[in-house]
Amino acid sequence: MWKTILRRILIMIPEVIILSILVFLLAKAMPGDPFTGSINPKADPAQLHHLMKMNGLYDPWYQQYWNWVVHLFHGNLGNSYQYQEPVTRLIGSRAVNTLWLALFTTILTYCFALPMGMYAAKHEGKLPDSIIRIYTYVTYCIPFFVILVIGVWIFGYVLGWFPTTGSISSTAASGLPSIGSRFYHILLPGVLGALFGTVNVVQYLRSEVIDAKRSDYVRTARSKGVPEKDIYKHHIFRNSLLPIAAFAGYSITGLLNGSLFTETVFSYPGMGLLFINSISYRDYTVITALVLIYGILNLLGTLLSDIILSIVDPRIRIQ
Amino acid sequence: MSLIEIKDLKVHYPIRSGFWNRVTDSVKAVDGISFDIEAGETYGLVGESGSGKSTTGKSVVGLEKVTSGSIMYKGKDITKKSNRKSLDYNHDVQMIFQDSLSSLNPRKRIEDIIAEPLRNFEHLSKDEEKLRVLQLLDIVGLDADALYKYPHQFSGGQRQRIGVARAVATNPKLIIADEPVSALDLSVQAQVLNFMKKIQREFGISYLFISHDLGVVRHMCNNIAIMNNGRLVEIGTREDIYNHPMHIYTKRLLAAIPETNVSRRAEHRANRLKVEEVYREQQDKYYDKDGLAYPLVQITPTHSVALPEDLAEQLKHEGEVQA
Amino acid sequence: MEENLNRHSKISAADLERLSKEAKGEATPSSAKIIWSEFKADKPAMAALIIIIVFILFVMIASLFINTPKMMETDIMNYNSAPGTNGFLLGADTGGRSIGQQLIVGARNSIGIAIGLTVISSTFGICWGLISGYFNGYIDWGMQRVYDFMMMLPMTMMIIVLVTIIKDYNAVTLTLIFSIFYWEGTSRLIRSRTLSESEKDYVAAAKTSGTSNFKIIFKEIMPNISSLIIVDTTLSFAENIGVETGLSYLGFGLPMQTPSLGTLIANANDPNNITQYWWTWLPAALLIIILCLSISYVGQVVRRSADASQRHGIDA
Repeated sequence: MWKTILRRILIMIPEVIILSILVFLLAKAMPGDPFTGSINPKADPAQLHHLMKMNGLYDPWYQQYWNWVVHLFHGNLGNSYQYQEPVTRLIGSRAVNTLWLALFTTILTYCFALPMGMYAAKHEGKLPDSIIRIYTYVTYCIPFFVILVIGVWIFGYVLGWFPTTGSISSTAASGLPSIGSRFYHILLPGVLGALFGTVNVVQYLRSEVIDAKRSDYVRTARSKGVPEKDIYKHHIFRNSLLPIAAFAGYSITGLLNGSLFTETVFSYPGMGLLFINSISYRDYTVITALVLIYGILNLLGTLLSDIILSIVDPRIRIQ
Repeated sequence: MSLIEIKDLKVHYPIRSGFWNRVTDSVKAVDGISFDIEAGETYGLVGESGSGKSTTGKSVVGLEKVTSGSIMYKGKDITKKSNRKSLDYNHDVQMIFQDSLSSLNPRKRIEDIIAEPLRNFEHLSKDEEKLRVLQLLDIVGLDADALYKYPHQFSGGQRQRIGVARAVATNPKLIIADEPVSALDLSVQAQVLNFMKKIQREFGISYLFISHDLGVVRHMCNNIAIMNNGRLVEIGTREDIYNHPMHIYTKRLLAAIPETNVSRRAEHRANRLKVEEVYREQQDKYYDKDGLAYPLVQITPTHSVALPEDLAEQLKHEGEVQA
Repeated sequence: MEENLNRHSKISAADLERLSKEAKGEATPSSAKIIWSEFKADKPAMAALIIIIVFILFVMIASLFINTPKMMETDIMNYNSAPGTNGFLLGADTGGRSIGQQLIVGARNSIGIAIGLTVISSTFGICWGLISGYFNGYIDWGMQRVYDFMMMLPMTMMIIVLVTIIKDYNAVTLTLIFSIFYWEGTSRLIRSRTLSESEKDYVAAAKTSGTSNFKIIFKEIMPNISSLIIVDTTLSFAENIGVETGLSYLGFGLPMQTPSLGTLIANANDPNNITQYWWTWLPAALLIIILCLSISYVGQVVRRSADASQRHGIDA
């Protein structure tokens, strides 16, 4: 068990290193220099030259990369040129928003998907099953950003039920009202994300339960006279739960990807919106940090899922 | 010179474990076996499941990577891929598989299935090829209708005959038959086996006949090797094995052949129990301390048994006295 | 062999023509035919397929008659004209540009990129999955590590970064950039099926028949997973429409002068547009939804038909 985890982490290390080099080189390849926007456009070219030199921007790339990595390990990701603020602090405040939204969406997704998957499997091949299947496919096929735009239009602008920008109301008092206001702001994107993100969990749970239904241990339980309700509760659901939980890790990738769109549509100040803004300002330090963080979060999500699955299914461990 | 000479063949699968996934041990599927197959004969390879007989067969046809040892064909060691290529080895050595459904590509028509080896080894014109396929179908007793059908439209016995037709297509010298009838009904078994025998007579093909069923082997084979846990325990002619079995494992296998005569049921059962009793008592004598068979010792020119030296001397002596 | 066969078989060259004619009469339809006939029986699916094809043909042909640079010229006079006014059937946007024309050209661009992306990424993913699944051992291990690495990359972010780096990109480079990141799903699906197919005896039989690895992969194994490939390709086509439009919506897809369904929806980013001038973005949004739904519906029916051909036992 621990060996599996440790070996997985060891495999991760070269991946992270390659990712960091890739990200660093891509940021270097981006057009323009980071000072053009931040200092007086009429500034003396010699002064600009001096600034570039001071910041080590004329060093060979591996030298720059090495400095960057050393700083990274000191928790120093540099300063954002756009916000004139340490990147760590900037991203820290945004990350909280993104993670809240992601967590809320995940919980809601499971709230919707688990009953649907169970119900579909219970009535396999009948009308409820096909309705749920059509629902999951319809929601899966429509590009999510279109849903977001239409959602914010109907519920935000036309009906006016939900806020359309920001993560907290500027007038909210601290304490309970501020928590309430935060929750109010993530309600609509969270519900939309959950309603349209059920397909994986529903399909997987459904097939797990259908497999379990046909398995010998369930047949034995049934022939022993265990009530149908208890069969589902104790025998089927419990066995399917852990592999389903493992999906939470894999879904991180999708959620992070979606955060770019969700946060743009709702002008929600998270990491996704920060990335989009930083791209337009060529704010390299922020861009590299964000790509790196997203990559590592993806990796940790997969790792989490793999670990859960290796606990459930020893066959995976042997590999 | 024999058709094929297998010498000290070993197929080991590595077991990786530990933190660095290093090879720490190996499964010895085939552990040093040697035997020869003569042209035109049917050589039986018998053993229980997991004894390594299928692995041996796959090694001979070139599907399995061999750990060590040699398989000589026309003076070349065909465990090397380059030698197989230069000899066009599979033109001469073909295989019939156990699972007839899985061994025929479900998406291909019968014509394409049977013609596959022809297309790779013999470059015939379209008409020649079709004629050849039709004749092959005729030889295994199938109608020309079969040509444009798919494998799933045939019964198990018919499919296995299609498998036989494909194996025969290039007129090979040797066909590895890996449990060719064990998935079939008894009545169909006889039919397929008779087709195989007929083809052997007409085309002079050798078979390496792999089976766990000593009854079927007796019907088919001239020479027989008994395999147990990756090693050979007894080699001999049909008479040697069936009339003078020497290794307790062989005796046990023979006792397990079902008896059709109901009136002698009790007697048969008693005999089986006796053999089982002897097996348990003498197990230590016939196997070394790791539970593996000893190297083969020649008893008569045709008959070899895996025995420790002292026991071999004793049995040899008894045999001579009996003779 | 020849003499041998002639001696032991009653059949001779003279019978060839008669027998093969007889056999043709008994021939079984191929699975592609079975899928097609199942598909034809499903009227709504046929309707969806026809609608998709007609629509694609319509935008392809109609866009030929539209002068794009002229269409994209700003015309203050027609600022946000409502549908039906000033000669604009579907209205005009903030720059006074016709929404109807932009829809046609934008749909052509978006669908074209989606088709290109599907063709490239699916072909690559299928080959990757087949090769990785067929050759076990080191090749598979190495390919799996590359796959893991690609899965770790935050793809939308990477695409955006690449788009900002590459100057003067056009629809073709954009499609290629997308393709780098969108083959993984297909490859994983194909690999796992190839792994189980490779275990089957017909692959071993092909090897002993002297067939080369390349031929075994593409002529023996691939036909056996063809229904999976068809279904996956249809569904990823629907999905891929969302890829380019999504990026264009964020402002990193097609350049501003090249209309796309995504850039049209991006009109909704302006709070005035989204409420007052709904015609600037809503038609594009609805068009995407309808397109994706009908394509995925066709995909569903293809899946069902493929299952039906499975029921007939062809894909055992």
